[in-house]
Amino acid sequence: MSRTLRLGLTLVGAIVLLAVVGPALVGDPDALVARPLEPPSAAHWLGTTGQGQDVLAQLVWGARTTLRVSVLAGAAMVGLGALVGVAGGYLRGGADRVGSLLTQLFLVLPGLPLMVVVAAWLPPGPSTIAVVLALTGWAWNARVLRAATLALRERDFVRAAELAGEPGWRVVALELGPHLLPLLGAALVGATVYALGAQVGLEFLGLGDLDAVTWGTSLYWASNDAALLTGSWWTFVPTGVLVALTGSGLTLIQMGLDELAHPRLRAVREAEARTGRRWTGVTPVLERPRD
Amino acid sequence: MSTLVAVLRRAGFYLLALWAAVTVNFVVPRLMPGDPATALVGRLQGKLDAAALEALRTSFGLSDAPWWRQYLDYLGAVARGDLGVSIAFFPAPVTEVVGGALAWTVLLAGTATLLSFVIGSALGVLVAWRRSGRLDAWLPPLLVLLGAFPYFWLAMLAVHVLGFELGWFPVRHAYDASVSPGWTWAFLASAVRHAVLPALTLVVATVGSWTLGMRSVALGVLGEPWLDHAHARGLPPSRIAWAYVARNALLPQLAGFGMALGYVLGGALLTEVVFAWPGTGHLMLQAVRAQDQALLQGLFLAVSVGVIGANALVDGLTAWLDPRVRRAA
Amino acid sequence: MRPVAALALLVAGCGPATSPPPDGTLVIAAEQVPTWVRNFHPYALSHHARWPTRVAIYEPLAIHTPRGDRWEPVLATAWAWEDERTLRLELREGVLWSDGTPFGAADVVGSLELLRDHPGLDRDGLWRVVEGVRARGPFEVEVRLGHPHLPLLGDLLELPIVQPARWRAFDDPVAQANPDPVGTGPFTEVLRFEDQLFELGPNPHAWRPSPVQRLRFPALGSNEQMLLALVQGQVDWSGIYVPAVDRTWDGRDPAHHHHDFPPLGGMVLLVPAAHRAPTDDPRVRKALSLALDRSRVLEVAASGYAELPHPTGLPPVFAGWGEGLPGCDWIDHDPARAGALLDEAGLTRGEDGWRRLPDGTPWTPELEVVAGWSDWVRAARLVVRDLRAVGIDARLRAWDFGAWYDRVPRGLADLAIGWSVVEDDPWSWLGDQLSSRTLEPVGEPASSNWQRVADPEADAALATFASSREPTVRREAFARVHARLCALAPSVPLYPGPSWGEASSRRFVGWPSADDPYARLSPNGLPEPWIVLGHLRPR
Repeated sequence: MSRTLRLGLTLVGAIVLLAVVGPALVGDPDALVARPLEPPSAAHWLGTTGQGQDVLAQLVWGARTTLRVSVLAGAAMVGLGALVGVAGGYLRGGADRVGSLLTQLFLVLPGLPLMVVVAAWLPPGPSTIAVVLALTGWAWNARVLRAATLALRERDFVRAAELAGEPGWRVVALELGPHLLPLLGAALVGATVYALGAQVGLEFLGLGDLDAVTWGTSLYWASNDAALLTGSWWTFVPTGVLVALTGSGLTLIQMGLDELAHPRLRAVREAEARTGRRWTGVTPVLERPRD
Repeated sequence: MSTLVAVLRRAGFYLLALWAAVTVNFVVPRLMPGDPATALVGRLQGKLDAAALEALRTSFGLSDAPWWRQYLDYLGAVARGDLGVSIAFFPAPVTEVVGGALAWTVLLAGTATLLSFVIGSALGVLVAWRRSGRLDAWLPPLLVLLGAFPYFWLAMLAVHVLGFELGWFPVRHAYDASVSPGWTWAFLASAVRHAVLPALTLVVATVGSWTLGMRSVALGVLGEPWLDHAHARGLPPSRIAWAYVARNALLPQLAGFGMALGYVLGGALLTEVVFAWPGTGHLMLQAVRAQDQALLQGLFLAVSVGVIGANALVDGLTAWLDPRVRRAA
Repeated sequence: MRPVAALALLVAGCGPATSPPPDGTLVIAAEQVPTWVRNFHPYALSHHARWPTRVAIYEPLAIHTPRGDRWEPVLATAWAWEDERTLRLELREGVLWSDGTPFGAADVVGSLELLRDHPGLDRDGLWRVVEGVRARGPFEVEVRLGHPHLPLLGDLLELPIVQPARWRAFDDPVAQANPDPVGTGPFTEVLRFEDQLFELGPNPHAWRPSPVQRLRFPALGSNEQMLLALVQGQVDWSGIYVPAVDRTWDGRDPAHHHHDFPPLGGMVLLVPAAHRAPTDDPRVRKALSLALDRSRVLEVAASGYAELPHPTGLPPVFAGWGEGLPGCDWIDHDPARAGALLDEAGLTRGEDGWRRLPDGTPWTPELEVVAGWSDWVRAARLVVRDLRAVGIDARLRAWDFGAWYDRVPRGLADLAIGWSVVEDDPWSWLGDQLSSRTLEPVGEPASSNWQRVADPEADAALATFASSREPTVRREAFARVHARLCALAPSVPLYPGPSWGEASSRRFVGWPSADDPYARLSPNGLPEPWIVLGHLRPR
């Protein structure tokens, strides 16, 4: 496992642990426990918000909602994308033409504005954000997965399965599926990162559910209470750092997966590890992948 | 012959995309609940006489005609370049409102996107070329971390620390109040100075994705056998890196760049809000909040045309850069 | 990255980042806009240069300030009812329009007639009451009413007066941007107009010239940017909500930074659906009110800036009218009594502790609030908490403004946080609470009275109040309406909204203050800031 992947997994693992176990260790994030905007103290490690809630409790509970929505939205994006992309790539013909057209259209539609409008239209709430993100973000995944499916379906083992009379859904599930899995995994991680950023941004604009405890709404309230001008950095900085750590952890995982899928790069690294010296200049072709 | 068919096909797609975009522009604002004229009064927490409201609805161009009638009227109006009047800025025509903001948006987001793409791609080639070096070990994770901060968060910190506390940069608007727009040195200097901080935060937040993308593609190119050939011919490494690797790796990146360039017209919404920049992103938020259908339609149209145009441009550019495609043409 | 950093340092190195406003230029940030569009239409609703248009360019006959409930004469010097249906206006002599032509009775008559011919301009519906208007002399105007209606006076006096001939010449006076205004106000000349900034210079023929040399209006689209500009000294006068005002504003320069948040804005209300069970029962509505811990709401939602509502439930603006009236017995915090009233109304607690409707079905009212309005969201959270404490299984539902405004005015919400408009005359505010005049059928949008309460007794008293010129008769009628208000509890007052106002005396002095409370400091209530503008002078 590469350093990148390890670092990414550690970061994300720590934050997931925080989201899963944390809420049991801190109090009610909505409870008004102290005076507003108190600096960090022994009683409140990260101080209090503009309303007098415990920042640490908000951060921990926020992690749970925010991560859940991000993963949900990411999965929906990839799922929708896979549906259109894989079906189009496998079936080809008319279905593919419609799917591709739809994909291309959604790619050229302005995503963020559309998100802003749709978010304003649906009743606010974390699930709304997930729906909005899925609707506006699936096309990119569809494009990638269609290309991969098109390439795979020409391969011998797919042809063989088809000649053997396997029904289409079996071919897709049993033959294509395993080969698409790494790609799907990387896409899911990527989509989750995207969903995290977009969700926090929308909520910061006040388009989320202000009643929910999430990282985005925490930042909205911090800004609403003039966190920086009053010097109350503790309501603003930790949340942003946590978003950044989550996002970069996920991206590092994605990069790590990418490296795993890059056999040549892996070979270089292994060679370096063996010889203890660094290759510069051109990549030596140690072994040509036989595919 | 076949090229002509391909070109026509492509043009057909862009026309279709344009139509679809225009249609979505028509539908989406209408999906928003409530009546814009009534909401306008409500938003001011005021009252309005019923007769006055009815008269205003007509002036706003809000009609109760069946949707297909409205749709046909809208298509006709768009074809004539008439985007209606803005409700939030009544009676200013949408073209006027959007037009003013577009220039500032192109200036800021366009420059930042271009800078980010150029710097990011160059860094990407560099780290790919020096892969497994110290640079490759630290730069990509660092850029990933910077890119993972919520954009507005970075921008707000920059405004507060670099702008407010230290006073190094102006924190709002596109130029100083002491100058007026014109081709004068004072104005241009002021405009550049005002663009630096927002552009810088935009570049810092987005450069990482270009670097990573470029690095990944360049690594693929580096494995191509024809590069061994170039080495064998004794070409200097810097020439190989930039003329061969970078150029070939750039092609797949261009599609993403086209996309990003197209979205420029939508404005960097969060940047513009944080920096009080008089651009389209800021306007879009205002239009959503004021349920200004016509203004939203106009802004969407600008973005759609931008994206479609940029894609067409990139199609052309790819053909020009890629000898294989060029030869086929 | 290095060249970028070098460029940044280079650019940062030359001079201050933002130049201070020139001496004599008063910088005002009253409207949150991302960009300016040149529009100086005095009657339009939504144009963006609304503030200077109604405060500095065009002038009304007189201006009301809730501070001391006082009228300041402007283009009219005196006004009086000759009988219940005839109003006589005496106009100021020697006033010139900014193009040098003289102002007179024809302008007032013509402005009113312009509204009659273009209903889109008549936002207050003056011509629903006015029957005719004529000049009795060069500086005397008579307004005839179709029926006796004293509250018209306020709307009529604050109507901006324009040059009728000029406006008649426009193709469509409703959709007219009026880019080059001609007015009687102190600042009428547009010196520069750009997307992000515009400036007005003095009216060369002003009848009341100002020692301020020019007005500057920067386009600022967010509360954060306005606050930052204020703190940086880039803005002299603003009317935004300022969090932790002692630290963020006053404390930075105690000698020059002033704020004034008097409770003279509209009343923030909890609006129950009085047209359906169980909130059709006044006992239930009173119980909702008694359940609320308003001091907590004030502390958290209004940052301690607001004050508790008066025991009469009347907005503080009408304190004079409320003098000597008994308080309503449901404005204080008394959960025990709230519970008793609910029990009495048949809403008893079930086994799970939640109150049920008399037929045994669960009662789960939703409190609907505008999602982006942070103070309301905070207030609503506390309201829900307090209601749950007395056994009402209330939930919070936040909507975007458009969706919210499509539901609440149509009577579709169980409970909502809403506002009420406070004008110079209590007739309109009381009518918004419980008169059949403001009642709309459920499903139709109503501009007020979202609770949908109409009381015949209050109607009769309000009619007397509106038509009588006799102070004792009016007082007595007012007391009768107020008694009905206390008996019915049509809506539940949360707190009187503060009027936000901040100003810096670093460059300009003469701001209203505790020692000299001639008007509100807030620039938000148009055209009241005209009064303040007249008191300002450069330091």
